[in-house]
Amino acid sequence: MFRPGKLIELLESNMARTGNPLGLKRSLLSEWLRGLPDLKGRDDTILFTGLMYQLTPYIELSTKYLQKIENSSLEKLFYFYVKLSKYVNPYRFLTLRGSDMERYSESLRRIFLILKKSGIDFTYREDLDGYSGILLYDLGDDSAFSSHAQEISDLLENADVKKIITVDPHTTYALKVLYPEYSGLKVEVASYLEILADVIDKGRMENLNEVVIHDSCYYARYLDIIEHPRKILENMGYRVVEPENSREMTSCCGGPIESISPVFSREIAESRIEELSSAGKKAVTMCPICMGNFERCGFSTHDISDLIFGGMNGSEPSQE
Amino acid sequence: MGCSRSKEIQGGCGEVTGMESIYTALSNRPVRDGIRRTRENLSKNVKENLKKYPFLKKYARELRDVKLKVINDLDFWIDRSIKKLEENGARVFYARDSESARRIVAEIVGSGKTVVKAKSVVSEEIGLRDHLEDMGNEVWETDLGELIVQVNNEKPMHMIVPALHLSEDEVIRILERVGIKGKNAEECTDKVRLFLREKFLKADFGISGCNAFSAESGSIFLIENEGNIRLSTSVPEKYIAIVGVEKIVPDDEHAIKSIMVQSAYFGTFPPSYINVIRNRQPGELCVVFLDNGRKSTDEILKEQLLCVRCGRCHLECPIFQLTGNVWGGETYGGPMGMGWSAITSGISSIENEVFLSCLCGKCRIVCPMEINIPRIILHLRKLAVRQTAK
Repeated sequence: MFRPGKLIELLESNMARTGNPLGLKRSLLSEWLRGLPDLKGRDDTILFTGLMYQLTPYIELSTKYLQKIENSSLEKLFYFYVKLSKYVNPYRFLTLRGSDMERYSESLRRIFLILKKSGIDFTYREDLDGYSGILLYDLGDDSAFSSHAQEISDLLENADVKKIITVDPHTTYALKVLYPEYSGLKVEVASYLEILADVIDKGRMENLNEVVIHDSCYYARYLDIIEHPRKILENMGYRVVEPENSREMTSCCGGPIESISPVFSREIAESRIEELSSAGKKAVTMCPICMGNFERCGFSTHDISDLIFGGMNGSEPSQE
Repeated sequence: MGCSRSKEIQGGCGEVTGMESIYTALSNRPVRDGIRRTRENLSKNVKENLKKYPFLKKYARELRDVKLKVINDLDFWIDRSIKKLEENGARVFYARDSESARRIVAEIVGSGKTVVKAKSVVSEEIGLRDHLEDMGNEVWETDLGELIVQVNNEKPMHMIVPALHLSEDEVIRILERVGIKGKNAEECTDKVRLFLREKFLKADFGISGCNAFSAESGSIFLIENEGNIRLSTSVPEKYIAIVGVEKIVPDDEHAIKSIMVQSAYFGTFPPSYINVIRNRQPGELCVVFLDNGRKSTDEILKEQLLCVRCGRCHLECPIFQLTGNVWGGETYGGPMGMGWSAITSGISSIENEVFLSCLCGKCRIVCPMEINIPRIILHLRKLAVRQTAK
């Protein structure tokens, strides 16, 4: 188990430098925009990625390294690295395969296109997108989370944003539930799944495959977003299979503690993978952290956006 | 981005020490298998109980409100309970902390006595068995699982199923150490019964905890499935009950509802035995009320006092499923154990453990008292971070 205080120290210093918890260059986080058509639409409605999809492959990469040194004397290496991170960009030394990044970029692009195709009018502005600070909150670093929330809230309110569309459960929870409490954000926040559930009509496609649904803890238990993904998938023609422990009883993917203990995180993932894979061949996730942690543990899932996109275009996404 | 903090956070909100045991637990396959087995059986039962007896959910909601009322006015209810017990002819004591509780019980018991105990988490909390043994008494746990754990000199792996991690073969070997020889579980159980019968008969004192206490009648309510509590509390001439002050409910009706909810959400409903103890004639009833942090919780931690200790959150928790009761404080482990440890032993007792939780929130969903356990865990993290940042 890595020292929470050291993790907080690393997060704080990375965020102070770059605004994101991993200290990544901003350009890396905008790669997903490549090839997208016009990003402009209604000014007061914005898509807010919260950077989670973009960060996930890098989180998984570091978790792979951390896993090797957890609970050994080499843990010290990490603490040394925390010190170092104040002076150099750590990701200069880590390389990510293009394809690993591309998967997450592709999901984001698809979310963008699905929304546009469904007639949702919104704008994406890089300068109004940012990390929610949720990891600071989860680690109990209230003061840092609070000032970060204030900064993002000010940014959004100064730009006269009236509605925010989020794409992952953790950012949704932060903006929808925590920001109003911590920084008085008064903007309407909805996950894209909530929005799509209202606009995707029944009967677009027939007889697409069965999919085993993995509810995210935050959607299912913190935000009551349980029916929305089911309704969307069913209306797209998929047959949704419920694994053992689903809906509000969903089992954790282990992702939330991957930085504190990659070893425990993996064990939890493995037990969930067992439940999912015994329910069917193909599993669908709706959170990049779930997808990333399962992937690290050797289990490929489909992001729900890929299935929706596939359904809209009359084809199944290819198996990874 | 507004994340500057002048002082470097030292260590992991304290050094991460004492966490080696969780890795040992992780590689201890029988713990995991035992929890899985127990969970599979009990979860099914809970589901069936709630379907068959829908009033249980209603009771649980009602109980939450009633317990909240008591917890917000503990002094009033403690006074009322003490008065009623004294009217009934009981000897009543009040212990501010575990040390004073140990001292009170030790003074009542003295030395050179034989004591039979019902399984009781609150007695683990105050370290009673060891203390009484140190004072020169012979002390026996009379719950089968707890006896096995006692003989094996280890910590109960679950509040209600203390020996869930041990295989039949291991149990046979452990029991041999006290001269109980059986070829299989059934034979061992019979032999244990004989072994304990002799202890019950010669015991000077019986000691138990309390599942619910009615301030209306001054009665102690206890549920069980083995019959050992019935014997521990009635056969020896003197009986001592240790009652955490949060166990008080206003009346008999809610004491009954409380034990029904507890057993249904644990997974054995109805329980095999319900004991209601109001006085001991002949004999003597001593009641020790225990505060030990319960009266001085902050607003968020206070919610943990609603807990009826059904152990549901343990079995459904992804971390507990891997480590058993090793993840937690000295006595209380698992999701509810974070709050309970903080209340009874202070935040420093679980300042690292709280960071291992996934905050996945399943504990909150399965809790009959709807305790927001993840909120408590997060609150403890905040306190730990704030403390180290000072």
